[in-house]
Amino acid sequence: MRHPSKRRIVVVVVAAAALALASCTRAPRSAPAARVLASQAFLADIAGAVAGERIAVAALLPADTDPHTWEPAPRDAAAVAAADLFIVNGAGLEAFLEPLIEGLGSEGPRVVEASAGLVPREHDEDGHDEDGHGHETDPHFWLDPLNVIRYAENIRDALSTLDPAGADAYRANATAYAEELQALDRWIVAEVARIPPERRLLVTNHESLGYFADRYGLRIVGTVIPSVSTGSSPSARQLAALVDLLRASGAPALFVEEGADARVARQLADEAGVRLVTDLRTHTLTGPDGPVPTYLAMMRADVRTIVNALVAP
Amino acid sequence: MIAWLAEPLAHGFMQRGMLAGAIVGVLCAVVGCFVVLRSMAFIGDAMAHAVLPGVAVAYLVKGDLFVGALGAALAVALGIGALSRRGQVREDSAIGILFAAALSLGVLLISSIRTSATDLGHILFGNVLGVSARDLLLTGAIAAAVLAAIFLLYKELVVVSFDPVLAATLRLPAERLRIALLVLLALTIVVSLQTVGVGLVSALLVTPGATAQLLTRRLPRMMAVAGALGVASCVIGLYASYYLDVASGAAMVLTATAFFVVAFLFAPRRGAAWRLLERARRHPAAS
Repeated sequence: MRHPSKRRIVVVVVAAAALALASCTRAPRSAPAARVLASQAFLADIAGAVAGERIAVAALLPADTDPHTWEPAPRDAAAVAAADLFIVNGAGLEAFLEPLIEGLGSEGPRVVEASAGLVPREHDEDGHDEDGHGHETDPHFWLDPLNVIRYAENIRDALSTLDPAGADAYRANATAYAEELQALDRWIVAEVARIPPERRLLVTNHESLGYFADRYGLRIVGTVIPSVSTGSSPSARQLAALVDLLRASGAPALFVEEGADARVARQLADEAGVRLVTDLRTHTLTGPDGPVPTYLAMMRADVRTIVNALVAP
Repeated sequence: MIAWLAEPLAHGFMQRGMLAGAIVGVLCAVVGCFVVLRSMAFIGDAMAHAVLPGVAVAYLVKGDLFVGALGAALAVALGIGALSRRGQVREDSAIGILFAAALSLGVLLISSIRTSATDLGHILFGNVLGVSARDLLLTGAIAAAVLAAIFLLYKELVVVSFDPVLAATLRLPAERLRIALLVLLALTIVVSLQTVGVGLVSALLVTPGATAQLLTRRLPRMMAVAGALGVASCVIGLYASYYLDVASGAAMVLTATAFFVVAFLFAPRRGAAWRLLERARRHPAAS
């Protein structure tokens, strides 16, 4: 299993002059001749909500692409070079793109971190970080929708600097989007409330749901791969301890992200007699025709998946 | 002591891991004796990576990834056989060429599948702790078939591998036997690959065989010793992974390496320590 920090998705916001750019999929509809790029599909979606009609947003990598096996093709590098603004999640998620950005030097785009200003979560004291991974910054801020309000504000500010004439529109869009996020948050609170409190336990393949769990009162009991790093592999002792933990805690299910290697997790789930859920999405969207074309849809689908797995004995 | 040995086996995934490790350990080590003696140490690594295009194609046509991997490995095995048949291209060069080509083709195919969230590289990184009962059956069946084939063709394979002149005199179908060996290798590598991962496969193909070679010159005994070392490395490695809390595949590889180092230093008559001792005995004044 791989970590989000390798996830690479880039979004291009293109102005009228840039129609020729190979990777742009939406035609711009208005005047500003600025090209904006984001690193992830869900970021492209959030940026698109803020940019609205003024600037089109497209993904360099299609939404459903697994970034781990993705290698930048020359046209990807060209798209980054051609951008005026590059929106990244930050907090280490885009470490894989740093060589590309640094390679461009002064030709590169201005980079804005959507998560700037958010405080990284502390690992649980009782928890799962006894292996010294506690110092790693968890970049998965967006899995708490309230954090995404800050994303939208950061993107609003960056867009306004780039295109001052559109500042009012961006402000209005960001405000409207924040309301949608708050509605989503209220809906999630209500959904999680359906889970009996003693069953609000999460065991995941990776440590990605921390912010989500913090916000909605779920407890992360354990993870299969304790580190966010791809190269690490768990020891037999850790897995045995996790099976015991699954049994002892009464956690009803083990969650694995869509597309991840579920082989080890499947054996553990069988062993402990819990459900294995493999279609959680934390950073990939489907295309516009799929079931989760947007960030908001991804969150709703995940919450349904989690609640369904935990609610019924 | 018994409790100490039994404790890790309380978990089903540990039992399956032990069994899978033992099966793969024997299989790779026995087949690995041919690999070591014919100086093809890198064929394991090469073929393991060469399965990628097969995996990608299997994924595209929604087939079984294992079958795709096997197809690609067989194609590469036959390709190596064909390229090096008349000796215009040496076998190790053929391995190098086809490995690089297949790996690149795999990367190219996988990067063009831009619509999938699935990480196809997974097949390269089987984990001995994630072996399912089905994997175990498949591994066991293929291992039994490969070992049976080696047993039945033993004399012919040995003659063809090490004594081409005798093989010609005996009118053995040398070409077919050489390809048979490559096919057996491909089967071994692919089945081990999805069970224990690429790192362990390349190590188990070479290290136990090389260790056994230090201890004995006779091939049947070398195979037996290598097989025993392969199993021991897997079992000890897995216990180490449990009690020392370290990554399991790496622990197994390093256990095999430890056996090798010990044999390299202390093998009767051939070990480095033994030779030092001999020299000291012969030239007492110099030491």
